[in-house]
Amino acid sequence: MSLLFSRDDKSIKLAEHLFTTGKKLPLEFWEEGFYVHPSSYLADYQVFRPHLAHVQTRMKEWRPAGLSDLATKGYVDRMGWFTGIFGLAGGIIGVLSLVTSIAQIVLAVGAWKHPVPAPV
Amino acid sequence: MKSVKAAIMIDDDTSSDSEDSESSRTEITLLDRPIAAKLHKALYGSSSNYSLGFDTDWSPDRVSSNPTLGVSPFDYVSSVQTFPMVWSEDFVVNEVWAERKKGGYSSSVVGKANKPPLAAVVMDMIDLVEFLKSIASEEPKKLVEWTKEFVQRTQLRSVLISGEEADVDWAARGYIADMFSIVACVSCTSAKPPSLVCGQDERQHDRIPWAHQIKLPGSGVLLPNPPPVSLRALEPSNPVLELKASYVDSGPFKFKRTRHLDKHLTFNHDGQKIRLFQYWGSEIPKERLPKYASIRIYQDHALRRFIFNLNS
Repeated sequence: MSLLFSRDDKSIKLAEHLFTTGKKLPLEFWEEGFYVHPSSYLADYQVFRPHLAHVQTRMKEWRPAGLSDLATKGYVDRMGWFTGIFGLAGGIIGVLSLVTSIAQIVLAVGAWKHPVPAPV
Repeated sequence: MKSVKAAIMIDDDTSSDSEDSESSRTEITLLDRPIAAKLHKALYGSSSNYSLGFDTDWSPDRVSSNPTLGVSPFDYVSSVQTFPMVWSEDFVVNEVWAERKKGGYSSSVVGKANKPPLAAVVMDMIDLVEFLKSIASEEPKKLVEWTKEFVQRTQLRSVLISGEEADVDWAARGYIADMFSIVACVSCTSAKPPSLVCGQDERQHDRIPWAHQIKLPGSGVLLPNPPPVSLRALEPSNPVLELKASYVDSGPFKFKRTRHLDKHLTFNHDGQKIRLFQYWGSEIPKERLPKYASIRIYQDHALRRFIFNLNS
């Protein structure tokens, strides 16, 4: 628990939301005998080492399975995901500007062919 | 024994994630209090401060002189530490003494017509606790090997076996394995008492009995099915810095709480939610036993380090 929830405010908030639906976490959450100061290596987690390794593996292996998953950030190569999203946004803007340009040209040609007489 | 009635646990609610609630036994069997106290002492040393609940010579005057310990002579005080005593009583009444139409309970071990007294079973249980304490720093072995060694080394009070290999083996993986489930508080986070079926006669020829599947010292008792992972992923030098709740939650996986320790840090059925064990619950009720024994049962438990396989 300490590994997951004690290292930043956002994680503590998440724990409050998950376990106490927004209320303050009970003292037992912090004082329970199973609480240890989180360390950085699997070596320090004897009982749940396979479980933690399994979660890590699943996180590394996660890939989008469908179109809807494309909007979800994976855990590996987030830079690639951001680049992809940025590129997609750029592409959409490009396509929109192309459509706008075409519409502008069509309107301009229409206006050239059928000029509106100037008011007298 | 002071008083004997049939013992039945009435609470069989299986809802997994509901809040703790109180439960009570409609009828009780009373284990002799000094023996109950011995079992308690073997499991928890002198950590408890409610010895009055175990006094043999209970009288209304004694309770009224100490109203905070208002315990009737027919039940235990409200503490998770009394669950092993309750389970022991239920084990003897519902299994060892049970008369079934189809198959009995370890009839070649505990007898068919004449069953051992409750006190004898519990005294053997105390010996088992002492034996387990004595092997706590040994190299891990299968539970059945330990229980077999226990049967061979100890003069048991509740069994009739001759000492033949087949009898010893059956007692070790059946009857004694069930005793182990009680003293080790197996499935203490479940809403149900430990499953005490290893010793049922119909299971005598099980090909892979439970006691063959777990090793001790080790956490297999509480976490029987660790997820399959590669040796590379298990490298102790692997960093775990990315396992921060906020980081995990920012991706496709979310968290879900569970009341079952064996499901801690496992994925749910759709593979998108990581279950986290909530080890605390509501307050322990003042007068009756809580519904769940909960992980709190291991606080000061003599076998705690043994079954969690904690080296330091």
